[in-house]
Amino acid sequence: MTKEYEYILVGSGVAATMLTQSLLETTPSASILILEAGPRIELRDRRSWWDLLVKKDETPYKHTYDVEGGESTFTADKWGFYESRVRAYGGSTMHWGGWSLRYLPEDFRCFTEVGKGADWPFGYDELEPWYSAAEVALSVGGVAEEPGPPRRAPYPLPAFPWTAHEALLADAFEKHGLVPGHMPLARNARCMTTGTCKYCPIGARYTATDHLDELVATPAHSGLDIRTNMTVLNVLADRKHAYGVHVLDGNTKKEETLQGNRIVICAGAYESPKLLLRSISPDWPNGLGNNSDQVGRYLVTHTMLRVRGEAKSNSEGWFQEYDFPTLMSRSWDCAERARAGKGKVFLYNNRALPHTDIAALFIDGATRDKVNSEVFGAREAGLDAFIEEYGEPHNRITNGTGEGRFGLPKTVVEFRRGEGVNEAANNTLDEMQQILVRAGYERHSDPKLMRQIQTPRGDHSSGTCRMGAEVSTSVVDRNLCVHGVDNLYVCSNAVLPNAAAVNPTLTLAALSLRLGAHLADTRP
Amino acid sequence: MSDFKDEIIGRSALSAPDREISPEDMSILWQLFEHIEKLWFPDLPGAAMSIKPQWLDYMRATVTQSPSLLGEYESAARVFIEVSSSSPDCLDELMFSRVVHEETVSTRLDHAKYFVLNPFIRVFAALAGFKAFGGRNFNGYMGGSRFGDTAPVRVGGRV
Amino acid sequence: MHTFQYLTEKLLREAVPEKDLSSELNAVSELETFAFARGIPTEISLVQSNGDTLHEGLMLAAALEFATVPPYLVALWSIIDEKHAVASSIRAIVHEEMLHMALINNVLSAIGGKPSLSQIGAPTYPAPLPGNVHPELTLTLGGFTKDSIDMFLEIERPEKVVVVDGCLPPSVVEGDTTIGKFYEAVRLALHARNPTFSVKNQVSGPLAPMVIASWDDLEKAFQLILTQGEGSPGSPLDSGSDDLSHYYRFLEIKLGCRLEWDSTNKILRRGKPITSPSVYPVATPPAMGWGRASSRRIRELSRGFNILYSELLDELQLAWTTEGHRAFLKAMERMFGMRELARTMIREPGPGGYGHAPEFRYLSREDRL
Repeated sequence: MTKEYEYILVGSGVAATMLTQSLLETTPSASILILEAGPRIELRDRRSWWDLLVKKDETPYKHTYDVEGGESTFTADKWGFYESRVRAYGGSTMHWGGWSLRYLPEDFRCFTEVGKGADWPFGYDELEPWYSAAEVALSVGGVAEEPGPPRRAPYPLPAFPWTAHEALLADAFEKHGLVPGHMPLARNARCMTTGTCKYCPIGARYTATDHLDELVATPAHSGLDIRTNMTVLNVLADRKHAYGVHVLDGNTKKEETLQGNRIVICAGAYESPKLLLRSISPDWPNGLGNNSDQVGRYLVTHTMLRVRGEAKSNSEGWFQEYDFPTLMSRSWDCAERARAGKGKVFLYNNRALPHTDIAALFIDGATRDKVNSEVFGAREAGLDAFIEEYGEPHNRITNGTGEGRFGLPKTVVEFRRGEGVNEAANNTLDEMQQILVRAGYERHSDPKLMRQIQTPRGDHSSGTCRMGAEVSTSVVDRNLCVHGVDNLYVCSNAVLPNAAAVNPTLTLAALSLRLGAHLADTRP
Repeated sequence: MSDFKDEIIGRSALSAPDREISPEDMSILWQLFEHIEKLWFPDLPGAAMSIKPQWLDYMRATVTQSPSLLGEYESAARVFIEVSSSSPDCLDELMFSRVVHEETVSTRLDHAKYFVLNPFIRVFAALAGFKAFGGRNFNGYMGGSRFGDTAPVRVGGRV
Repeated sequence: MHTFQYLTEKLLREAVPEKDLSSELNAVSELETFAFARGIPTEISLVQSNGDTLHEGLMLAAALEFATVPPYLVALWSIIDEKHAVASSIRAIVHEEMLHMALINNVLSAIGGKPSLSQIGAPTYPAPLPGNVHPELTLTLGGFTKDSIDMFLEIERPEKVVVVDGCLPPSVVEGDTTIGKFYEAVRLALHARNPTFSVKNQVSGPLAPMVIASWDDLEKAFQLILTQGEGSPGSPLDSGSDDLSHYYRFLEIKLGCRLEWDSTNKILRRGKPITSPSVYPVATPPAMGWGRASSRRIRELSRGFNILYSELLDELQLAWTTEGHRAFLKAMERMFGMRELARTMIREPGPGGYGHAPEFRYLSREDRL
């Protein structure tokens, strides 16, 4: 009586979505069940959009964020949880900025190049066509001629032009020996640069929610089923084979078992290892796929580096016009810099600066003259960067005691910053400040804002079920199959063997499309 | 007898009565919105009118979707009637330039500023007012796509 | 629903009954006689008119702006390099037509009328222009070809064409009427009626930046529509801009070079050459649409496109009647959804290696299920 699905996917974010698209391309009627612990949240609701405009940060999905110190805690260095992931239908692409960069070929050989982290079990060339496909699926716009990894085809869409202020910074980049480029962004043709990307009023920024809705609405996809408020408590498996999942239906509060021929865990860098760890059985006493005690380890993220500068005059009257940065540079994104102790760094403009909150000034009683003097008065600029850190086994995610939101167990992070990272970060911050000086800015008067190494945050966490050929040092193989289990896969940032210096989503999308093709080709 | 506008009603938003917003109240609220242009943006004549369709959408969203601001709108309309009849010269100072924070909201006059006018100012600034300072685009404004002949933002010597 | 010729005459009579309009009327009634003699209808009974000539006229004008857009879009979407100068030119023209349509609907809304795009602005192509304007012309969805450009030139041709240095002036087609006369009649009729403008059901935003709240706004709107389309009297430029009007932009494409206005000698001179863009050739849709004889993929894409197009028209209708700005945003989403599907269809080779033009077929709600 219990139906057996061909595929059960845990999680409904961009990974599950791309994987589903890929599977359905080969077999449109494939029976796929997607289980999402969180709720469905409407996109393009007018009241939600107006609320965001009138009260910044008021998004309709913020109640799905982790509760710091409540359901999610850290035991070593401070770790930021809030605002890092959206637990809802469509996942974190509900709130992402859409920055879509490929890893470089050297990123696939991280350990060989730098002596830290791990190498991928395959190279850039193998993933390259999937990167192209992912860029199409995400509607990425960029400039193909700019320095970066080799590519055979142009971007699907053009890039957005730099603002006048970014042009000024671009000159400063060049003076400092960097090549300025355009941020590749997942925005389809309808983008009207509204500037409320966190909740786009016309669906211009890629969001997996819309993509899943399209897949569901296609009549040929008769076997696709998505259920929200469904928490997977554990995966059921015998010694070599997973046969189903045990779930809690948040709607009915009842538990049930669902059977699947193949199970793919697409639950992000936190929940993917947590699920494996708690799927305990006599065959798997340390958690499913965890006989080598690798699950949940090598947690790594992107720490953001920030500098700010001040100029006394803003005679041009510049202020925020986009809600994304278009200026970036990958000139520091090279292994050579990492080996020299300066860090592998991805540099980009602080999109929120220069900034004048015109409305707030009037709201607080300013006259028009006062507002004029504020707009055309002092001006701030900022540069931000991500620096690569390297996975170490003692940095890990585990299940906490007791439940958090959505029926999921609590999350515990144990993370200690690696040796040499602070030094590399500070060297980089020095250079970032120099660039701002070249652009005519002085150091910011507030020492807290002048330069920052931010608390590491969950947004780009990865590595916790990493890919590798060796069973003793990895969790999944080159096809994302959990070592030792013939039909269980992990498809999330958890599988990335290294963080590189750039945002992971495009790479994840490419891996997901590739996995879908592999699964379709190896259908039992 | 104290004025309607000085009645102390606390910090929470007024609850929404179960009725539609009256055309008279809409007309007053529109006057209040338009006044932002007259008071602070005399160099943008017609700006409020040019975004009236968006303002109507804002009003509809905040009245028909929960939590409704209808109670605040009706109260603010009466405050305006009272102020404009008893002390019209003080309208700007009393209603528009009044500084009210979340912690200090207390009277109906405070409510009118905090729950009605402050958001109106945000809507106006984001959809029209920013142009007065030479901006081409702003967070909340649809500046245009990357395909048109004109860039959707102010650009410099290199794009 | 009547023809433009008929409506123009009727509006003039309504607006200025005392004035001796014999010269205008003669011209118009000559056209009527001429049309009659040629078997060209003076009435098109597609829409139940509410009897208000002004409303009818504006509905027809909006339909006219809208109906010319699909052929332009298929040409635009066939161009491989989206950033090519010719693509940018056609895109700018499409934007302006959409703007004109929005302005006319705003005028209509301002005087209490309701637009009805789906009934007259959405013909089944190939089709004549609504309102019997340019009766010799047929709108087709042929992509970017020499014939298409000639068709576009005909659609946009102003009453008096400015001469291009070294070119023969185009021959005048007899019995032609231009939209200019019609707008003049509308202006007169509006002034005679002296309505108050209601902003309640108007739309503003990208592609519709102007709301009609005053006579000034109205004058500006008509000025914009006329000069962007046809140029100013005696000049090929939009008034208040250095841009050529639509006719001359298409002429640039046809001649393969930029045209520069020599205002001293009142002549257009050939300028820098414009390269011809690489395009995908397209086949126009079969009369009954891309049906069973086509591949399943094309059928699905085509149906998807038609559904989005139908929703677009419905949302535009709602934007100017009950739903306002939010419906306009939904319409915009559908516009871009259509673009994606159409570009895929155009790039999918069929018999002879030709791509497939989207149908732009309006489907009723039942037919969309």
